[in-house]
Amino acid sequence: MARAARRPFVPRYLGVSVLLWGLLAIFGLLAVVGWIVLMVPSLSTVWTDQSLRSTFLPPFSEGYLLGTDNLGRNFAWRLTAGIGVSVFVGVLVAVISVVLGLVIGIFAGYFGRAADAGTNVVIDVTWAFPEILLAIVLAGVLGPGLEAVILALSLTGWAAFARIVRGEVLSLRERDYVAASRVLGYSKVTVSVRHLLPNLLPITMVMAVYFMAVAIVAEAGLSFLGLGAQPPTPSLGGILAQGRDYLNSSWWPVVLAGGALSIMVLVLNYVSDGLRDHLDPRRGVRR
Amino acid sequence: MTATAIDAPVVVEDLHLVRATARGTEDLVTGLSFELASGSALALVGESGSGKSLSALALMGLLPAGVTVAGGRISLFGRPSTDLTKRDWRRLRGTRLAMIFQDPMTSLDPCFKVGDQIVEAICAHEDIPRAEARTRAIDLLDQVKIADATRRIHAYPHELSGGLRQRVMIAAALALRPEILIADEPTTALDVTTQAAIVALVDELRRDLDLGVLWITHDLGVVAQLADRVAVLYAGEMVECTTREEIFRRPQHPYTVGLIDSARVREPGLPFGLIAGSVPEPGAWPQGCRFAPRCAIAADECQQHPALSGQQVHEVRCHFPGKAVLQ
Amino acid sequence: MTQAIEISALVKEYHLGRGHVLRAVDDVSFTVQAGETFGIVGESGSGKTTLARMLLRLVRPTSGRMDVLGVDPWQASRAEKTAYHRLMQVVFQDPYSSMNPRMRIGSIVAEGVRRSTAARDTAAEIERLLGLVGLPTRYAQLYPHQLSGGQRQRVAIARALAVQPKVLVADEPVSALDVSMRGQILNLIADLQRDLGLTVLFISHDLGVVRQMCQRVIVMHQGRIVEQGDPSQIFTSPQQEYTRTLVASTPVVPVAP
Repeated sequence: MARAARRPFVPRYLGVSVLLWGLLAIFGLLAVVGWIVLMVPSLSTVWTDQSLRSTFLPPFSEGYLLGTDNLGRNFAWRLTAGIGVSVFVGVLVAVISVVLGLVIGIFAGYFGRAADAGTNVVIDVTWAFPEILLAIVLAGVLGPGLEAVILALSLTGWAAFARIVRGEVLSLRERDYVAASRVLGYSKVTVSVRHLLPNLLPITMVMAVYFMAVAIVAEAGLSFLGLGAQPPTPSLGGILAQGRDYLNSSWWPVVLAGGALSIMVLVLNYVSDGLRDHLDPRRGVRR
Repeated sequence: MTATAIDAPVVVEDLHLVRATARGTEDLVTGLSFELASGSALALVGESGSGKSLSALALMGLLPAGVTVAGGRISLFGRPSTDLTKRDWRRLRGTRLAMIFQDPMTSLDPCFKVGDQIVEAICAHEDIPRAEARTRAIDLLDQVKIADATRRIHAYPHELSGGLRQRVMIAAALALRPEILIADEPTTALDVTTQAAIVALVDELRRDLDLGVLWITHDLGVVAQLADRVAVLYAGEMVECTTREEIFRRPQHPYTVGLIDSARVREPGLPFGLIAGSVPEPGAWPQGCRFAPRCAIAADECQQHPALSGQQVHEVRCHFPGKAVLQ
Repeated sequence: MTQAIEISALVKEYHLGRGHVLRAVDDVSFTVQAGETFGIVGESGSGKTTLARMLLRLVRPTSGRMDVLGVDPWQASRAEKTAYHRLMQVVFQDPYSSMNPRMRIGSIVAEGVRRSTAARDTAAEIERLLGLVGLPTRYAQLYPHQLSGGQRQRVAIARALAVQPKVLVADEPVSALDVSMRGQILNLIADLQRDLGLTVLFISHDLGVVRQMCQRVIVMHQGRIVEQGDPSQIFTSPQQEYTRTLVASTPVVPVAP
């Protein structure tokens, strides 16, 4: 088997380059920020503190690195908080989608034809279901806010991943070591946890990061429409919505928030691709 | 092999194949020399890591990425292979030099009917109308003993059994009337009964078409049915080369003796023949004789890498040829 | 000699679309004596693998009865089913896919040890089993890709023996190995069979190996048993046409007298 000749030297940990780990760490940090924003209201004055005398200050004004918005709030803090919230929501939705997708995908792929047929119907319906509609419905039931958005995105997002997992499981379950485990008398559940899950981990990591990107954009969109984060909770979508009204006087909310959104999605896609390359089984444990 | 016949279609001298790794270059095949004459069958016998498949790919100019020819010469129809341009190779492959592989499912395109694939191959090299190419395709399928050829040319690869697919491969390989056929373990993935039929077919075609056949295999039983000469490879080098009769009657190299011992049929209840240990990986070959760690008769001299000795008729790479015997 | 296995009229049908029914195993009946090495010979499509999977409780038969040391695994109670898995174990053909590439050898064997009833020190037991198959203890730290094919098969045998089975199903255990290494595994199986009193079901396509290894054999073709009996006899004077073709096709290495 031909091996790649001389790969450029990139420090790696667990096969994944330090650069990718760094990026993942940054996103982890941002998620923590978002968690703090949402869960620790006592700190909220930092990004909600209004100062009606200092509205529409441009970036690099005295004391305000990124200026202020229409209510005089320190935009640097507000943007950071908004990014944190977006990332946090992204992580939460990604985790829920991935967990649901794994469980249902394994169930469909490994637990019999009836299970497969039944779940396929559920997957098809869910996949086709428009998340915006669900968000509106949930907003009506639970009241508008991030809970509705997170629920809506998670409840529709898992279906695509479940499909992928099911496909992987269909091929994994034919491996002899799965059969050997069953012949030893272990239950299907035990075999799923011990043998299927670890082999699904690479694709899970790749798709989780991808789902994060999707969720961040979706949440921004829903917040833009007013369904997501309610004022004064900051969110990129909300900032964009507000900024749109005052575009003539202050370009920086829209440009900076939009820019932050684009960069995050680009970076996440890059990380997702990078992970997929590194976790390619051909480079992995096999000879 | 010293003085090689220049007019043999395929002449390999001292072939040295290497692979680029993170730690430098790694030898895969060293000092390999053999020749293939028209109408005769040479079997390259070896196990994993012997370098037999790579040697065949080198003959076709189809070495995988990272593997290069670091030394030695390959002469194809009198011309050194290093002289050949990409266009020369395209003209050579399929027309004078053909190859069939182990897995016909990956060698045949599953999206196209088998007949069309043969016709494409013909039309790519010869300027004849498609209708004529199609007739030739049917004739070829007949030649490889596929029943009902007129109907079968419309079949897709997945509609045919493994044996039939392999026959189609052979038909496609012969479409342009090559002089040399390289067969890389073509029957390993087939049932024993199918294997016997394919081996018989290739043998018959060799005689009818005066083909030179290079048959790569690990199966000594197949060798016994088909080969005129046998070259045994171990860890990237040739350790013994002689005629088929001689190799089974008087194997000289301990590895050959061990192989025959492992492969032969014994009386029920007796232990199976084996060779202790396992084949060393490229890069981990011992400095002296590469077989010494597993050899029952190894001695101090074996720290020295043995050269190929003996006459043209029977060459061995061993310090003690003939000392190991079959029980 | 007591009877270890009795198979009666075993059938496995697969329903492929449009009314096609494939009888992978078609009315197969045979018995296996305790402590013998019983061969099942067939080519692809013969049904031998499906038969093995039914014996191992991986595939449910369409009809027929199985009796393994007094237990019918398909009619058994829950407790009997658990016990069944300690009666019968398997070694698969492909040493590459028969173990999880992400698990160390020690964990792979431990998977078997944990199912055995005798409570004992797992680490010591792993050491004992590895020794039984001729592997040094330090191999427990290695991953499958660091071992050769033959060594992996030894690990597979160690895992199978962990539960101290009475019956070992060896499904083409050496077909994927280099020729010079086959003898190591075959002799190991023969030695273990003798030392532990195992009943071995040896599945292969190679009549030559089966002849040397097994006391009795059945030859399968397209789901049915076409011939059965003493392997030497079948080799020298096959009765059925298919068996004759099989014997004639089996390549024989000529050995000088």
